[in-house]
Amino acid sequence: MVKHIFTIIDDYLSVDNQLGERVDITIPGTDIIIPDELAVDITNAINDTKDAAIAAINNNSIPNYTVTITASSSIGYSTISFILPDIAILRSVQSSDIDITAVIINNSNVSLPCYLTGNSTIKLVGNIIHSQQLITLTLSPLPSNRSIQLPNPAITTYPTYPIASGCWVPSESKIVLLGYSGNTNYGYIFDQYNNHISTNLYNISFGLTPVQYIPINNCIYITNGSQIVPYYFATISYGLPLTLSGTIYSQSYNADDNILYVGTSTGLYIINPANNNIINYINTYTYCSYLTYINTGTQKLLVIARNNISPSNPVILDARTLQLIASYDYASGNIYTAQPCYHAATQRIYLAMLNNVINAMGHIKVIDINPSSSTYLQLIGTINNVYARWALLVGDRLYTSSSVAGSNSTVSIVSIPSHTVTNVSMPISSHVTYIYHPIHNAIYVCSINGIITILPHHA
Amino acid sequence: MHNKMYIRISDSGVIDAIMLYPFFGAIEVPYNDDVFNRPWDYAYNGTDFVSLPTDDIF
Repeated sequence: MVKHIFTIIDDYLSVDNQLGERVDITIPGTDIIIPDELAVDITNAINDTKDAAIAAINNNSIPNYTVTITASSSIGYSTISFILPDIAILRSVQSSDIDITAVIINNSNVSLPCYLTGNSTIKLVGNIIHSQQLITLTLSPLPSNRSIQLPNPAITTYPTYPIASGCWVPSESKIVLLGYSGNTNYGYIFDQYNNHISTNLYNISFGLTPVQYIPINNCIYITNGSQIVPYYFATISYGLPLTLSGTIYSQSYNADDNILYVGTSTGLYIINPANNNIINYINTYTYCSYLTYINTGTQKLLVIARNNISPSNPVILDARTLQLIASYDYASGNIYTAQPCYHAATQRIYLAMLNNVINAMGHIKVIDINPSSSTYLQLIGTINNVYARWALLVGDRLYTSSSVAGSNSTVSIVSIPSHTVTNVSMPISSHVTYIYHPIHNAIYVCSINGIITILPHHA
Repeated sequence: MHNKMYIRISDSGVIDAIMLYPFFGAIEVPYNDDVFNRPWDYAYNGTDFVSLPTDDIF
């Protein structure tokens, strides 16, 4: 029921003696019929409010507070236990004094974020590094009878040209893509907004080719077959092409020494981007399908994933001397190893592998490259049943995807701290290239089918 | 040489993940070299490792 008050302010009705008189009218709400137009407006307003709330949750703008715990447990693998009275969402547990490998709440292993229902028994399991431990818990308050449902990643898709590969270009603040060579008309450079960048096309048709951004020259190195050529954004022009031995499969840039590693079917090249000259070539390791340069702070390593041969063993080299540091007997025959991914916080390499013939789900090998660890250079774990043909690691999330043949379209999102796997269905796509967009904080999954799928990245 | 390892079992009983170090949802078991190197070939029944039919994937 809504009560309205009207006051007579004019003599329109020629009842002067009633001027200023007040009339109270009560309208019963149950008898109100809302016009369709108004109902749509109300629905939209509710949806806008809901979307804003979800956006606020995604942006972590809901209020947080921290609780600090101190302990003095012995160094080594152990458990720190405490009781927390809070009713809240536990968002993170951070400490530089313990390498936390598990969080147990009321005797159950949990992944964060999770709910604390009050007086929770919390156990932190991990490797205690320092004799005194300072632990910071980040929480969001909850009324005792409320909960917040965290939303699933919102995936969006839009059409573009068939994509061979691409990369993030900081100087342009956008993703730059190469057209697929299946139709030579598509052999051009364009951006994430479907705008052509290069009208001065080099006479090559882009295949499934690696592309690498070189910041010091503000250029990308584009490959095609046995040729590699720089494209300079400042002058919108190509440099001189270099012809290498074999088919070019991979690139990785060493920003510390400003050198570009290029892997081919016959060996490994080192190129100086400053003058676009070849510095070195070794043919010790053939079929260099993927290269990953790693600077751990104390080591500079080059990891090579070697496919198409048997045995196709991954190797780790000293990035400067190219001397062998370690080789592994994990793969043979039709096994494909995806881009080796380095997780800096744990100093571990994640190698996604699958059988490229049967296109089954694969697995991820975990190698320890912390030189102070007792398991240095050893296999320390395996994550099973993941889609493992392509791989990209951003923050604490490892994104791997289904077969290059595209028979199914699923991304496995692996949480590095917990090694839990979440599979996310994607629109049909194949020959995908993962590119991280740091401004949008999202993974752009770019397909030869001319589809870009945007997958929000959640830290 | 390691004397223990950590495994997480999926609802279907197969090994979901295996590590030399503790991690979320894992239980500690005695180290087994065959299982550690080919975890996709084994399930765990709560007491023992059970060989699965190998598909020779890896």
